[in-house]
Amino acid sequence: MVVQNHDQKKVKPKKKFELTLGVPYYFVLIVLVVIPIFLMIISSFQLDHTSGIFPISFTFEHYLDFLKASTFVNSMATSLWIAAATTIVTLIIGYPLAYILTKLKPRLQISLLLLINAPMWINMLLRVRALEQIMRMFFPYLIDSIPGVVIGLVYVYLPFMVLPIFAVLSKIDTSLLESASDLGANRFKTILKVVVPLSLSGVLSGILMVFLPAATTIIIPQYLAPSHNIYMIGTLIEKSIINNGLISYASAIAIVLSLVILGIVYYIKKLDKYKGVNRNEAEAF
Amino acid sequence: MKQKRSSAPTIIFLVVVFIFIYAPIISIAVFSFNEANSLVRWSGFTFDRYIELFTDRELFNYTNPRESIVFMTLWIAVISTLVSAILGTLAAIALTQTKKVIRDLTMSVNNIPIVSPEIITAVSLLVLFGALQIAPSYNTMLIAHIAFSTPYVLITVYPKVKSLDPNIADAAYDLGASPFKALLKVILPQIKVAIIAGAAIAFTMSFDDFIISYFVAGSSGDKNISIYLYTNRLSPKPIINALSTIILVIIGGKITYDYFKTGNKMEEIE
Amino acid sequence: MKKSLLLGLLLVVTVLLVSCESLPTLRLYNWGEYIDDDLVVQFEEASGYKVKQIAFDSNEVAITQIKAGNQYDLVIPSDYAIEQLAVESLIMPMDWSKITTFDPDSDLADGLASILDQVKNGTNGFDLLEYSAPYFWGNVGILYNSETVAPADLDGWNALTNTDYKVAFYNSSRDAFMPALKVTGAATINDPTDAEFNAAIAWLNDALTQETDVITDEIFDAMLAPSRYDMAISYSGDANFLMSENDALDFYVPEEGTNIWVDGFVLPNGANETLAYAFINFMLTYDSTLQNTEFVGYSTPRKDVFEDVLAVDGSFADYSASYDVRMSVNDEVYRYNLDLKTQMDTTWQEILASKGYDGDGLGTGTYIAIIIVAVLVLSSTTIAIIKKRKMDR
Repeated sequence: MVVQNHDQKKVKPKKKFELTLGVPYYFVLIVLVVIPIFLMIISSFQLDHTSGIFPISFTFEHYLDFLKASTFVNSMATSLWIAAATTIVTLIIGYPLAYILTKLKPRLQISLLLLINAPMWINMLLRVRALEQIMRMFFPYLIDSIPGVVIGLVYVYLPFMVLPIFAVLSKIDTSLLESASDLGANRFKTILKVVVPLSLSGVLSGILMVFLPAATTIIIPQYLAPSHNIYMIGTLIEKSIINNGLISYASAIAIVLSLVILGIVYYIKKLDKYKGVNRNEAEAF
Repeated sequence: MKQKRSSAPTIIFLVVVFIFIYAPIISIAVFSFNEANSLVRWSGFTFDRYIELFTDRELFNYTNPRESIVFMTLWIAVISTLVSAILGTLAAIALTQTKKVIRDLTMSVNNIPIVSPEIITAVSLLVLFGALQIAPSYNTMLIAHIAFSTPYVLITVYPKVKSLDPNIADAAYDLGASPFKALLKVILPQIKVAIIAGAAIAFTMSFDDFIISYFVAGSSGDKNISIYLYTNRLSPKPIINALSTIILVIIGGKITYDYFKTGNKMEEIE
Repeated sequence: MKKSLLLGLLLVVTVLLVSCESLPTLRLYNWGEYIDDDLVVQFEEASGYKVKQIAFDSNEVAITQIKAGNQYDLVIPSDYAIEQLAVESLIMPMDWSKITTFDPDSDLADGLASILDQVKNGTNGFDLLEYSAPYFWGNVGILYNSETVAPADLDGWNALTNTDYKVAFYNSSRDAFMPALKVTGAATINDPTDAEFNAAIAWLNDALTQETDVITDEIFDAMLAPSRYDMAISYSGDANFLMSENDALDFYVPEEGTNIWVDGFVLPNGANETLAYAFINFMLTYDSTLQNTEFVGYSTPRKDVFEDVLAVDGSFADYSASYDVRMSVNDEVYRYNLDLKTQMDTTWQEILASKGYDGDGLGTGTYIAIIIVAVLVLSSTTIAIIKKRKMDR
């Protein structure tokens, strides 16, 4: 942007003015996002106080606990594989659903899309409560069971899987599909070799958006497994804070949880690196 | 070429999925008119539950709104939306003038509350309030809501601000406007749509929030609707069905409105 | 124009909200379903004060939340919790001169008076009346369905381990460890040796299978006819209430002994004393205690009400066994012991978290899921590697 000399005088105050606009935001960002994270890290290295004053001590106790106590490891394991099961089920239902949606006429497509997304705007507790009611009426054996919790999670997070996949699928250039059939591939082969790889980035997005909240939920196990048969990591954190006041212990759990999640996200993003396939396939054809 | 006819399995699949999604919601609506107190046995049609709902002192306190859960949930949603919308919009504008390095860093930090699981944000805020010795109350709930809403506003508004033509603002200065006036009359109207979108997201996130509100204010007696629903999950009160149905109707109205709006847009294109 | 309208509306609402803060409000922190709400309304109408009720479902939560900075005016915890709050200087002594409707020297029900005396005069005695005004009292036992449970199977606390029946434990570390310690023969639940404690843990781990449930307030819904559980650990008052709603239920206290407890009003530091004592005075009148005990089902502290409800036409005449709780030789009251408490609380969470992991580990479902996940991961990685090789060419 070329600026004339006589405008320099006006640009500087404008720039300064606009910069100062950001001050309140930075204040909020630092005080309410950055500092709490540091405090949480510091807190995780402290002993849990029972007298109410913020003591300055240093201990690895909570992290060592992760290595030896079964509570932590069991809850983490339960959470991870319930979340994995949920992700798989939402993928199995969501992918075909997104695919079908792309084939519909625009008007129908929009209405169905809205209908699938509408529940996302409804308070999650209301939805889970509604599901609990149906389950108690017709499927009482699902309450307090792992399949019940998975169904609950699928119910809540299905739209999160459908949307990204639909977004990617609807962008696929139909000429690619035509070329594939021109070259002799039947429909099934086309889907497998062309559509699926192209939609991979949407699938990975959906996986992330389902897996993470599913692993860290506290609402669904409390509603659908109220007799505490199923202990997830969210439940553990909730109990540590609300029931026992062990804030440092909960901070340590939260930090370890964050590291595990970062690891998973990093791995999934690495898988996504090969989405450069889109450009190359187009060139190849 | 798009298939014009949908095969039978496809239709069956769609129907099953939609029943799965909507059966629970519809049953809540139906049972909100139930005569009996039970959530499983139907005995008669009545509006009683709604009358009980609107006269429930915990949820709707007309003489003392501060004690009313529904009013306070709305109030906190409105205030946090306003504050985060202002903060986020101003920040978006400020970010256009910052160096790339700082801008990227800011965006990364901004995204932390967005991508983190809510429970981790909740624990961090709890530690903060504990360290600052701030007692749990509606005030801490409000601060927490501002904390997680502002990043969403920023990422909604910033792309729009970035895409603005800078010459228009410069033209305003050339014509003698002060920076403040230029902001108000030139920049804001152009990004109005993005601000409203960001505000809508912030409002919904605040109104529906559970985990963060529960950790930060849960046992102080200052509840929002989600906390109320959660603490009553073991002793089900039928008025909850009535409350749920009302919320469903409001959301349904919004969805229908959206549908017709996009429908009209499609017709305009065609 | 629209903007100024909006601002104006906000201003009006703000003023409304701010100006409505003036009514004095009593913050009552109580167990769930532990008071007749009608009494609260009566108090509000009679006194002009407002009452805000907040609920907790265990003493541990109550103590944690008091320490977390929440300000309450009245809390109703149990004996050992009252002791802990007193020792940690979190509550104010009870000023009996401000209580006009009840005299602890003459108005206490006999059973309760003797229990309080035993706690006061025993080893490391603690006078509950110094810090609290009694609210309800009772013991812990097994609420069972007499139509499905054979009397011969009621052989002490071990009855809960009988896999023929659907059993529910109460979700509180004390109400889990007490039966465990009693049945494994601990000398006292207040100071078990390491060996005794470990024996209790082992017993609990065995007793809590995939089939047993751990519940709190669900018991009110679950034990109504048709009752979901054959046996459930229950407080005597809940038992009274449920027995009156479901004739098939009965209450059994094992011979090994049980825990007798007393809940009372306490004033946390910083409480509004005017409001608090006004409420206590209201609740301890004859009429209020009568209405409350008939609604909630727990044993009342007032001697006159107690005797009236147990008399021939009284509401609890049929349940005198579970209403008139007397301290037998093996019964104990829980005392405050910080180390034991922390140990019990943490161990209980561990037991709950590893519940259902007995024997066959994670179960076949897990293995299937793990295999599917592994397959997906492997296939996506393979696809990715194949693509990379194609690109490199």
